[in-house]
Amino acid sequence: MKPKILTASLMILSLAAVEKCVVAQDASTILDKMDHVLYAPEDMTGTNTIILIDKNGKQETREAYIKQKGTDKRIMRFTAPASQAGIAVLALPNDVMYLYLPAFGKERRISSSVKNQNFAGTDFTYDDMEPKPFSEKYTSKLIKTEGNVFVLELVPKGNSDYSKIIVQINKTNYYPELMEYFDRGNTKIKEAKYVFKKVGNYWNTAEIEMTDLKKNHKTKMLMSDVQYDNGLSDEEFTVRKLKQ
Amino acid sequence: MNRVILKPLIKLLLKHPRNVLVVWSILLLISIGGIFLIRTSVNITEYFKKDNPTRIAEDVMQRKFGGSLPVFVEFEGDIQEPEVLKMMIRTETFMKQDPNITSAQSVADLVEEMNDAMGEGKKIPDEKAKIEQLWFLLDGQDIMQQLVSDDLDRGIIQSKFASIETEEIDAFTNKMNQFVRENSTDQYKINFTGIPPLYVKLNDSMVKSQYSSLFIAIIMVLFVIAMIMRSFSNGVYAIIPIIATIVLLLGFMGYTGTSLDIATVLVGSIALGIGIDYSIHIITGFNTHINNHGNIENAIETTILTKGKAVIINVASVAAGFLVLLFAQLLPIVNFGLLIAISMIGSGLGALTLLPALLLQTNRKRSKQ
Repeated sequence: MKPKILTASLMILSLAAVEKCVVAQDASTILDKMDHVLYAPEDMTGTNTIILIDKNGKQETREAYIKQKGTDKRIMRFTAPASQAGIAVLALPNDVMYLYLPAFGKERRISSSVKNQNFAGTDFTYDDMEPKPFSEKYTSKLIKTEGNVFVLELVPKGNSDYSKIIVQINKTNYYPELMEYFDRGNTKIKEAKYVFKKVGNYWNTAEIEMTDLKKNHKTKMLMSDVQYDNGLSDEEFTVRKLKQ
Repeated sequence: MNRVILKPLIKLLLKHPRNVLVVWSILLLISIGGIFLIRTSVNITEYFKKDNPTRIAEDVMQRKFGGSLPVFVEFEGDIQEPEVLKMMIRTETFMKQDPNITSAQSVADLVEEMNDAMGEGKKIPDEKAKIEQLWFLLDGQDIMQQLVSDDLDRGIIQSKFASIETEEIDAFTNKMNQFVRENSTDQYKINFTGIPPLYVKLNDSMVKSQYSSLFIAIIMVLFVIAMIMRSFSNGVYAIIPIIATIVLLLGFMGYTGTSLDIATVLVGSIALGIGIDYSIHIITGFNTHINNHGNIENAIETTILTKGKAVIINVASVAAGFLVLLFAQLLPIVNFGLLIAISMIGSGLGALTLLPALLLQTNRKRSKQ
């Protein structure tokens, strides 16, 4: 009798382990698919309109021209307002970021210690703006599936001001619809709503609305004039190019 | 009570009224000297006893963390203008010359640091374009909301003042007010604010309101008594003991270092309100008896024998009631209770010694005429 109970227990434990593995695998597969949607094109260019909305509804608009290649190279050059025209940010592999201020004619590398700070008055941190697949930065866990979304919990692999991000991923097309950011005290501090539109063969992030729930401040990022696969060379993403 | 207190008192008054007036005059002269020593205090930490945890924590803040009194200097103007930021730095330097200011922070410091990070030294750039681009790095940081308005038309210097001594707060505030007056221009306006200037204004208004309210109260009491008794001289007689009591009280506060604060500032007016009763008792008694007997000495004797006991019992009971406040936690309340008790004793003594002596002297002169 006893060996039978033991065998049954082992089988149950094994099944639970397998099931857990499948769920974990599912979560990472879903996240990989989301990354694939976000970084599908070889390269991308477009105009980014940034609208800052304060708690009183007062708006301030900035514009930048963006070039991106692969999953880890991006250059963002501001074109408006006039006081910020020419300011550029270059993101390179291995968390390397440079900032160029034309009034000084100099570039400076952005220290990793400031990556948790807000980027240019927006509600995005430098870290949020980094072109790096989520699967490289976060471990994932599938919490539930509901309606047309998978709900994943992302926990940072390295140092971060976030304790976790809860992301809702579209079941059909695998783009994110909503991201909720939690601080180390497990309080929800920000949320980002995504709107995706199909441009050619790719899903384009047409709009992200990030809300800082503490400050009641919003940032809308609208992408327009988007072009994909123009054959951008690595030469476009150098410090020398940043200063031009 | 008649044998032990009132009869010896009557004997003293009738035999030596002039000496009683001389003693009172000396006491009042000494007290007037004490009035000039009165210090004011609106500092809340001084309201707690020295062994109170709140006061101990405040002492630690002063000794170890540069104090707890917030100081702000506000600038109105285009905060991204180099001249405005440079003036902020100059103001901080000026503030730090005071030993009670150990640190100060403004957006100008952040701009200097960013300029340093761009390899151009720890200074404010001369070109506005450079400042606007350094602002790009600062924009959106949490600290910016504390230092600059959203419209960039106002910025502040934040600091702390380490001392709670009224004299040091006064000196720093006066110095800062002068600096602000001399350095505001058409391009920017500077305003000095925070707890130190607030304390100075409170102190100032407390002293002014103390003297003005006492003056108004005395005039009103004089007017009301003169109207009711249909005699201006009776009004004057009634207020003399109470004025003498208030002078004694303020002198006591000056010599004992009892501060004029939010509670003790009320003592003068309350003492006047309660203490005037004793004078009214004595004057009405005196008037009644002098009309009946026509003899001044008899009128004084009868008045003190009939009214004196009531006055003494009233003084003792009111004073005892207020002395209960000696057990209060807050020092202003303790001082308030003590001062009211003293003022009751003072006004009772005034009504039973100073006032009869005055009535004797002045009415004798009249009879001689």
